[in-house]
Amino acid sequence: MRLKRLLGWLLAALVSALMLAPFLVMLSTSLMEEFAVFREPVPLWPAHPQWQNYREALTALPFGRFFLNALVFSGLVVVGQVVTAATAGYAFARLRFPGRRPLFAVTLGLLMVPAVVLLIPRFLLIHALGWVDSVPGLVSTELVSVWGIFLVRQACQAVPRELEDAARLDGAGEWAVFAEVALPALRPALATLALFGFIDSWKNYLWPLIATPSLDHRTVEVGVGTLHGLYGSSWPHQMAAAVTALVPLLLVFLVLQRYFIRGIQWTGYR
Amino acid sequence: MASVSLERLSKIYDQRVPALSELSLDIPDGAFTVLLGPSGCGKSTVLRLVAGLDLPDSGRIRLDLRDVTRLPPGDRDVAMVFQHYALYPHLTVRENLEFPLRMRRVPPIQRRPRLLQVAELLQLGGLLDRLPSQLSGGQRQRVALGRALVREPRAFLLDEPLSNLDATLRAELRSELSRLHQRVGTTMLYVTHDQIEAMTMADRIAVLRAGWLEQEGTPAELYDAPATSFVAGFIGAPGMNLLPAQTWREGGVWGDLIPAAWRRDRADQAGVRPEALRLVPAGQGAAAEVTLVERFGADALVHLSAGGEQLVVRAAAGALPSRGQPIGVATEWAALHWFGPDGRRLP
Repeated sequence: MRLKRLLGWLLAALVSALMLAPFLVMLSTSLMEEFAVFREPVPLWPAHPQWQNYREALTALPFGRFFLNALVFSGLVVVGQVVTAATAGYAFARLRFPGRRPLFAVTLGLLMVPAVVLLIPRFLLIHALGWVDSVPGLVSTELVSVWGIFLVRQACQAVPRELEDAARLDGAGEWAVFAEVALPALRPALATLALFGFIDSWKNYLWPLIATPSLDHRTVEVGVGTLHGLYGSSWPHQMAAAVTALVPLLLVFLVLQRYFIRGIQWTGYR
Repeated sequence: MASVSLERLSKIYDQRVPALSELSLDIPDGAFTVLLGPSGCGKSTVLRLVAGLDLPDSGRIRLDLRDVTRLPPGDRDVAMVFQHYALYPHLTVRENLEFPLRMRRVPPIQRRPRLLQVAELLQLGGLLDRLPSQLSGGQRQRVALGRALVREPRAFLLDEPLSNLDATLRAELRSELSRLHQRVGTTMLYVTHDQIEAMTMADRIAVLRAGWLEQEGTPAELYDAPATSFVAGFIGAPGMNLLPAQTWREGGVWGDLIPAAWRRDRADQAGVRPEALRLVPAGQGAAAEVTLVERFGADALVHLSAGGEQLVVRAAAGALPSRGQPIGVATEWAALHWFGPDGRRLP
């Protein structure tokens, strides 16, 4: 039994090391001198950490603005996804309306469409609306998460129906049943969705790149990419920007990791 | 308060098995009526229909004289206590009790006295700021009752409210519920499969079986004159002994218990309550063998077997026979109940 546990720990440590290695390389690279990266063998850790890489990288482009943009983008997407998933997921789980089953099947089917396939249609859509390079253009097509709808629907089914019946008898209308009884019970699911929505939006690269041709509305991820063009060969500067872009995600994850795990448990999908 | 009247109510779920067939029942104003039956007999369906949580396929429901059949649950002015309490888990006891008042837009200034009144009646005073998860089963049940009481509904619907409690607590809450009914005097419709609850609490009992009403009457009527052999077997703990005709007609084993002079021609079954049977020395009465003796302190149940039939006798705790012992059993003519081939009581 002890040996089994020890082996388990060893395996976990090995997998963790494998997962952590790229991040450590990123961190150490970000502190190296520009050409130290090409030395053979590459040192594991720089002898003289170059902290100014961070200052240089973050001032080469308006990163303050990028961070703000990413925060606005992720924040709005989270609000949108929580609202749409809560209402749609509840409706699919609880309300009886014609075409409920086929509609849900179609909604779930959308999970199988690769996001890349939808890039051009989405761009054409915001282009037609005159929203290219604007916050509405960036956000509008991200406001619904099919995975979120699925998550909320699953979570709804774990809420006892008796609670909603009791509320109806207590005089609550359909909206009050949803808002006063179902929604509080769905809080953990919605927190999970908010977390995933935030992480996904924060690290979204392709869509903000396409939807925002100018620097004004670009997000951090796109900013890091743009840096690649500017500092073509300076890996330390790019890595410094990448590490900085990662910090908010890391903080969010550290605080909310139990919701992260719950999301995977509930849907068996990620 | 209101009388509840059900007129030929039918309900079929998922276009398959009928849950309820043409049920008609009148519940007098202020009465404590119990719907009794085995699981799947349709008793909870009746509550859901009266509450408005489901709509009947046909038939009518009236509260007093008002037709409420198609009215939404919130507009019927009935309150329901659910089997699993259905307390809102994110609200404190106080907020749970206030919920129905808040939903009905009762001004906060009027909520407080009603809340305190109910809290006092149900001894919830010290629990008002707790969450349901911090309460015991009995306390949760009291809060659920309180939430139903607080808005002074015209009728109470209770769906097996005691089934999740342990035996001691159940007995305690049983008498508490009866007292509560005496105090508030509201019409109560109570669903249970436990015939002891029904017998001890009800003014009237309606026995349901597979969606049909078997019999409705006072507990005494159901006990003394069951309308069908099903009711005879269901009411009483244990239920009535039922002996098929072939065991006593034309020299059957039980012919000695039911002499030819007593027998009814059209009877398909003869019934006799365990307490109407008498143990007599072997050689007298009908000959049987003791298969089991269950002692309850004051009395005991003696299980007898003969000719493939089982019989239960309630006997005083004194000199009880032992297992395997041959014994005689006898009864009175007046104690026998007769049921025809359709299971109905013979007049």
